[in-house]
Formats: sequence, structure tokens, C-alpha cells
Amino acid sequence: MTALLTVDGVVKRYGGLAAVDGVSFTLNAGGVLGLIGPNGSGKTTLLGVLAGTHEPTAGSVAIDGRVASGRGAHRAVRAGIARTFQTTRLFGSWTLRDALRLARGEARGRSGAASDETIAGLLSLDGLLDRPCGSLTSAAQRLAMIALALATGPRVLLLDEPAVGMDTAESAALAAAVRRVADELGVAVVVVDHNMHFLMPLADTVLVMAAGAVLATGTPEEIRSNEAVIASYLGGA
Amino acid sequence: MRLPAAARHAGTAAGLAALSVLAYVLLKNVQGDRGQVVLLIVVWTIALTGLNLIQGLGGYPSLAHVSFFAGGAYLSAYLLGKGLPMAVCAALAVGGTMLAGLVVALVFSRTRGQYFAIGTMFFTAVVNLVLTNAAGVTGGPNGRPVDLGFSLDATLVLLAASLGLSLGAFHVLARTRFGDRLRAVREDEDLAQHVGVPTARVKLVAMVASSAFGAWAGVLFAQYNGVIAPSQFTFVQSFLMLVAIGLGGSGRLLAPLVGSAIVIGFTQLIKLGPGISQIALGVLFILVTLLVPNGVLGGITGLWRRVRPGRAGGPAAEPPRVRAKEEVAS
Amino acid sequence: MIQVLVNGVFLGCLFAVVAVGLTLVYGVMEVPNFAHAGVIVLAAYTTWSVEHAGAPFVVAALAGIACGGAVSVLTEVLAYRWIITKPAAAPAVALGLLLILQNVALRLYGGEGRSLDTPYDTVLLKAGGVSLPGVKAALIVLAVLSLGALHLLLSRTSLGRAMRAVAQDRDAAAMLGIPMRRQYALAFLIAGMLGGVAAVAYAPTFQVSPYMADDVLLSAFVVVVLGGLGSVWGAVAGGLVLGVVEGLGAAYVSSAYQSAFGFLMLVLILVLRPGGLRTTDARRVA
Repeated sequence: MTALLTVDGVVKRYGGLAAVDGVSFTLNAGGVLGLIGPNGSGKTTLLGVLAGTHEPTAGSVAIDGRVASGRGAHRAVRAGIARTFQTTRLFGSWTLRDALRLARGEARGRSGAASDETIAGLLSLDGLLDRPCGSLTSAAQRLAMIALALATGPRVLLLDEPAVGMDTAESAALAAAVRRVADELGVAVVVVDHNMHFLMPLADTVLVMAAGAVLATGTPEEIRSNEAVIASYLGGA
Repeated sequence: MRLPAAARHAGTAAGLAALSVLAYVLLKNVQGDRGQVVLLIVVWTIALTGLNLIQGLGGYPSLAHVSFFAGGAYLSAYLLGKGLPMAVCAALAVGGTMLAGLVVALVFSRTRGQYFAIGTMFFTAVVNLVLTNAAGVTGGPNGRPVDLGFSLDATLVLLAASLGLSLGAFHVLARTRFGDRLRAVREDEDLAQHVGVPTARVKLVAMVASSAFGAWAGVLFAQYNGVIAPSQFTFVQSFLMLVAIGLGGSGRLLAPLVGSAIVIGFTQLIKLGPGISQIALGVLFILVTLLVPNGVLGGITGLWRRVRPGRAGGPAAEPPRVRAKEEVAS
Repeated sequence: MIQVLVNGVFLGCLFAVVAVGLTLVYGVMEVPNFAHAGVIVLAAYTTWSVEHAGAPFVVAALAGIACGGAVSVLTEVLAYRWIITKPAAAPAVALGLLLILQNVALRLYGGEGRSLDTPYDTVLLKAGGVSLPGVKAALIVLAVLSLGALHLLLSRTSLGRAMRAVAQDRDAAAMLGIPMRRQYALAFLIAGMLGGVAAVAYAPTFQVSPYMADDVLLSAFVVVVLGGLGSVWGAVAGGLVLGVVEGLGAAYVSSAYQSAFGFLMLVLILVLRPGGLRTTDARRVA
């Protein structure tokens, strides 16, 4: 069986500086990959390349063997890759249901996006579908942003620091929701976050980046005990 | 209580038809300066309905709109002068202007907010430069006469009918997925792109569509007026069009009509002396931008909701309406 | 050929002085200051009317520059200050202000052009077949002096350093305790005075009218795009490039379409940079 998401030797340069310098990994359907690394290690840029926000200087991103990179964000969505943002971004004055409908309509030719109710159920947003996005609590808005990504019927979901600004209970609920999304929808999830208490129990695999390259890959347990990772990043955590 | 969708659309259609009839009666019977005011309001409403797509729904302040208006007027006048039948002239003038709109859109639909404003403003300045200097075709700074292509009565009927039909077209477009895509671009362009909206193409289509409304209004204006000159198509005019949409209420169906009435009324009816009416418009526009961002119509809707709190109030901005099985050419 | 280049440098200096004013305001406040053209017009009329009242040219020029600064600060205090949290409204407000300022000029002074006399009207510099009227030479000198002074202000004084900090990162600068309102007002004051310098230097080569600065403003915006929003040296370099391009176009193609060459340049930049202009979003003043 081939992997769902194949990232092959992705490089992203800005002038002479390589923000991402030859990253490769694969991810299966239903898998959750945690992407960690110090600030400036290239996590967010890599996520941007995966989502079509940036065009890679070299290398490719493929879904089911079909190249999906470098053709713009809206095409990445149609190829089955959706993302969220570090800062909360929603169509604030729209109801969540209207926003989901727009997103669903855009993923033409892609079937199998879950219904509004299913998505709301997975993300514990029941009863909030007909409220304007801007009137939701900040934690609910973070979840609504994921709901919007799911409405495009993605095969791969990219979450950029989804737990930012959440307290312990909220981030635990978020982790459970992400797990449900991966298990029940069979979506492959890539999560960038600095909060190890949130990320480590959630991820099947952890990829550590440093200076644009892969420092280490492994299960959360392996990463916790990896000397190089502890020295460069995790420290006493 | 909500009326069924079909009944509400029928109501809108009837209202627009009544508006067309009213426009015809006024155009036919009001004479002199006031007649000129009625004409300008009708022509501007037709032209601004296009601007209401790109600026109103999409949030892109296009200062190129008066150039499209000029394109329709000058192209039809030029072709008429060559002896072509009026219907052909009108079609070629609108088509040619849309082609120009496509070129402008190809260049500037990749830019955002402020750059878009600067670029389209410059485009209008250059078009005006051409109108002033290419005297062989345009008649130069003093303008040129326009041959009679339609009879006066036919022009009046076309003006009145186009008023209702343009607004009707906007009403329909605003309810398709295209309308929602534009609203999504206005709310958050990056996010729109990341839920799959091809934002550059949406802006491009909106720009080309808006140029068609502008050009058709220009054709009718030239027919009615009989003379066209560069001073009618300056950057200030383009800006006043933008002001009209902002004052009326961006993206709202009747914004072009209300906005045109305010702007034309201020500049033509209230004789405050040169400059004063434009200063007043500028102040009014800034105040509305700061205090009532949804314009006059938005302000009225807001007041109405407050007066009648029993009605289920939606968000302040006009909510998107997507029909589940809408197939939109894009 | 050299004559054409000299003319281009003259235009370039004019564009640079105007563009630096635009870019400074954009740097600290992210406003496309269309009203700048109105500031230039009012400064030019002030100079004209003070001189007309019998004052020496130097006094009139200083009055014009002061007027530019004052009007510019007024636009900030009365309008721009209230839209800091609503950047989408900025172009609309800026255009509204332009409409107001130009029509104030129209109201006060009427529509017909006025000519501004200077003591150096009749001077004509000549060197090896190249001639440069005194009014144009004076503009180049004034531009170099004012931009040099601005450079010293930004690089050597604490006020200038604070302004650069604001341009780098508004939130961080506010947290460091830099008084933001003073910075905004200061940026508009400097921009307005530069506009005044442009008016005083430019008006004698042309004439004073409510719409005298429209074309210059558009060209200056192209310069800002060329040099990168918020970059002072970018504006200077971009100004010279565009000045020479427009000068060449005016000399060898058609002088009636001079500003159209600026537009062509803008289109070229947009077409040649496939990412659009979002890549020039680095905000800095240096």
C-alpha cells in the first residue's frame, strides 16, 4: 500500500536562505503527524508549501501518487489538502453553516465531504451551526476553522498551532476531536504545535525540524528520548 | 414570518419593474435641469450596478469604472460615425470595453486593496489622457458629437428597462455561488483561497462583468446626451462612483440607486457654488465610512432591526445565500 | 540625450520627494495617502498668495512648507487617526480627503492656473550644450537637501529611531512605550513639509491649480511600488528610475503621454512579478 501523502525532498528558498531544506516524509490515511521544532525551523513554511500557499523551490507533494504542489492554494484544496491558520480566520459575519456550504461547493469533483451535522458532531460544535462565526467563543472559533477545512472534504488536513490560546481542558477536547477526525473520516492530519502536552499524546509520529531540515522522526516515545532533540529543542520539557 | 423564496423573488421582480416604469415616466415628463438629474441618476444606477459587484460584494475599490463608462460612450459614438447600424455599434462597444476590462483585470486582479486602488486610478488617468489627446478619434478636450442611433423614445425605453434589468441581474448574481465567492473575498481573501475559491479568477470575472454594465450605461448616455467630452469621464467622476456605492451601502441591491441619487443630487441640485457640494460630499462620505460602514441602506436596516427586536436578526452584513444545487459558470 | 537625462533627473527628484512623503506615512500607518496631492496644492497656493501679498519669495516658500505640514497633520488628526483599526477603509477616506482639499483650493482660489514667480526665474544654467533652467535646478537642490535632512533625522535622532521602530512593528513599538500618536502626527508632519517643498519647487516650473499634483501623485505611487512601500531609499532610487523613463518617453515618443509611461512601468512590474505585489509588504523606514 502506498502512503496517502508523500512529501519528497521539499525545498523552499527565499533569496539565498533555505527556509525548508530537503524535507521528505510520508503519511497514511488516518495518521496524525506532529510537526515540532524551534521558532524559525521552517514548520510554518513547510505547512505553507503543503497547502499550496507557497510554491516549493524544489521537491514535490503528492496525494495518492498525484502531484499536488505548486499550483496555488485553491488547487491544493481541490487536490484534497486543506489547512487552518495560526491566527483565527473565519468569515466573521457569516453563519458557520453558510461558510461550510461555500467550502463544500468549492471542492467540486470531490465527493465524500462529511455533512454539516457530522462535522459539527466530530468537533463538538453541535447547535452552533446557525450562529455567526464571529459570535462564537474563541475556542469554538478555533474548532470552526477546522470545520471549514473539513467541509472541503480533504484527504489531508494541516493544522497550524490549533491549540494556541486554549486552556488545558479546551486543548484536551481539541486533541480528542482531531483524533476522531483522523479515525472516523480517515483523514491524514499534520499538526504543528508548541504545546507538547497537547501534541505528544495526539500524534502517531513526530517529525522534528531544525534549520529547515528534518532533525529526527519517530514515535512520541522515541522523540522524547532522542538525545539530539532534547539538546536542541525539548530541553527540560 | 418569512415568505417562501418564490414569492420573495416575485416581489423583487415586481418592485424592479415598477421602478422601471417610474423611471420611464420621470424621464419622459421631467424637463430641463431636473430632467438631466433624472437621466444621470438612471444612467449612473445602471453603471454602478456593475461596480456594486466588484466593489460592493467583492470589496475591491475599482477606480477604473468611469473608464468603462467612457469606453461604451466613445466606442459606440466612433462606430456610429463609421456608419454601422446602432445595434452592432452597441454590441461592439460593450464587447470591446469588456475586452479592455479583461486586460485591466488580468493585470490588476493579482493585486490587493491599496495597490488595486492605485492601479485602477492610474488606468483611468491614462484613459482620460488618451481621450484628451487622441483628437482624431475622440474629438480632443472639447469632445465630439454623437450621431443619433436610437430614436429618443427608444433611448428612454432602453434606459428605463435597463435600470430594472440591471438591478435584477445583480439580484440574481448576488444569490449565485459567484456572489458568495465575492463576499468571501471581501471577508478574508486568503481564507477564501484556502477553502478553494479561485480568488484571482473570481475578481477577474467580477471586473469584466462590471465593465459590461459600465459600457452599456455609456452607450445609452452618449445616445441621450448627443455630445461626449473627456471632462465627463475624469478620475473625480470615478471616485464619485465609488463614493456613491459606499454611501448607498456596499453590496446591497439598491445601493447604486440610493448612492447615485445622493451624489447626483449633491452635485447637480444643490447649488452651493463651485466646490462646496463636493466638499460636502467628501465630508459626508468620510463620516459614513467611519460611522455607518454599511452605508445608508445598511444603517436603515440596522435601525429597523433595533426598532423591531422581535424579528430574528442576522449579522449586520448581508448574509450569503447559496442554493444547494446552484451550477454557476465560472 | 544628456539633456533628456537631466530632465529625467529633475522629474525623478520631484517624484522622490513626493514618494518619500507617501512611503513614510504608509510605513507607520499603512495608509495610501491620496490626500497628499491636496496638501501639495494648498501649499502651492499658500506660497503664491503670500508672495502675491508682497512678501519675499523665501518667506512665501517657508509659509508654503509650513502650510503643507499643518494641513497634512490635520488630515491625520481629523480623519486617518480614526481608521487605524479599519485599514480597509483607508483608500476611501484618503480619496474623500483629496476631494475635500482640492475643492477647498478651488473654492478659495478659483479654477484658473496661477504662475508662481521666483527670484531665479530668469537664471539659465548652461554647460556643454546642456541647459537647465534655474527653477529646475532649484528643485534638484531642494530635493537633495530635504531628503538629506530626512536621512539625518531618521538615522541620528531618537525621534527618527522611534519612527523606524514603529514602521518595523507597530505592536512591538507600542509595547516599548513609544507614544504612537506622536509618531503618526510626526510622520504626517514630515510628509506634509516634504509635500510643501515639492509644491514650492514644482509650481514655478508649471502653474498653480487645484489639479496640479494629480499626475505627480500617480507617478509617485508608481515610485512607491517600484521601491517598496515604506522604504525611503527605495523611493529615491525608484523616483530617479521613473523620472528618467518618463523623461525619455516624453522626449522620444510623445510629451502628451508623459505620465502614461509611468503607468506602463506599473503594468510591467505587475506582469513581471508573478506573485503580484504582496511580496513587497516588508514595512520599513530606513
